[in-house]
Amino acid sequence: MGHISKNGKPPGDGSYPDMPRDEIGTRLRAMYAEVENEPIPAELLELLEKLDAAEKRDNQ
Amino acid sequence: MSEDVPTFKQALLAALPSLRAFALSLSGRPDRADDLVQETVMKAWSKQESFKLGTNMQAWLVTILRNTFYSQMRKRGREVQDTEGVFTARLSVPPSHDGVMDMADFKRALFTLPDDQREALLLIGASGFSYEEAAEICDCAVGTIKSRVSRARTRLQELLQISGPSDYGMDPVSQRVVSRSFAD
Repeated sequence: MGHISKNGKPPGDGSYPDMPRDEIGTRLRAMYAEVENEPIPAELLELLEKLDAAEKRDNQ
Repeated sequence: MSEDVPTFKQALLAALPSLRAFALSLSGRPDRADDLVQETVMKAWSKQESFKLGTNMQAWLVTILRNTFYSQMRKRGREVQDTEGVFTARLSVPPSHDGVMDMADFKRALFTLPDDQREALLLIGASGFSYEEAAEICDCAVGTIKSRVSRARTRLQELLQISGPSDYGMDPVSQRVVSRSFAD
């Protein structure tokens, strides 16, 4: 949505232009999915909110 | 706010799950991975003017994160090699069940790879970048990325005793290579 990389593929669209679909590729993707499916830690979300709030304050 | 172009914050948020996965798979340590992602978010936020909305946020963030990782490595020196030693030692027991490796076996094998090879494999095989994008992220030649990925794949196939595209069995030569790498 809106961001297309230079090779024309939206990042994170699930395509792997230079990786064969073999066992190693499958394992790598499964390993990533374990982490990607976790909720984003609250600390990290708070950090983002703080940065956003500070910026809005500065811009006023 | 426009409907189609996400704000910087929204784009950053959307990129976080994959960035966390990269951080953990690169560093191998959850505590360090969390620190890396937080530092990356702070750096990205302070440099957001240099990011063009509509371009590849993931590639931009990954570039910041891996540069942060390597600069920490240089400061911390030998600490990482110790960690790798632990992983390597555990790998001296090969996968027990024929032809089936579990995820733990795979991760141990992955962390015996040199950082630059593991990184290249992750960028291509897990993050889904092209060779060209990965070369830009790592600030090296496309050929260097291709060769790192190729060496990483060969080594993993040996360690995990799985067959690659060429579908070879375990011959005496690769047996020797595997035993030698266990002994390292």
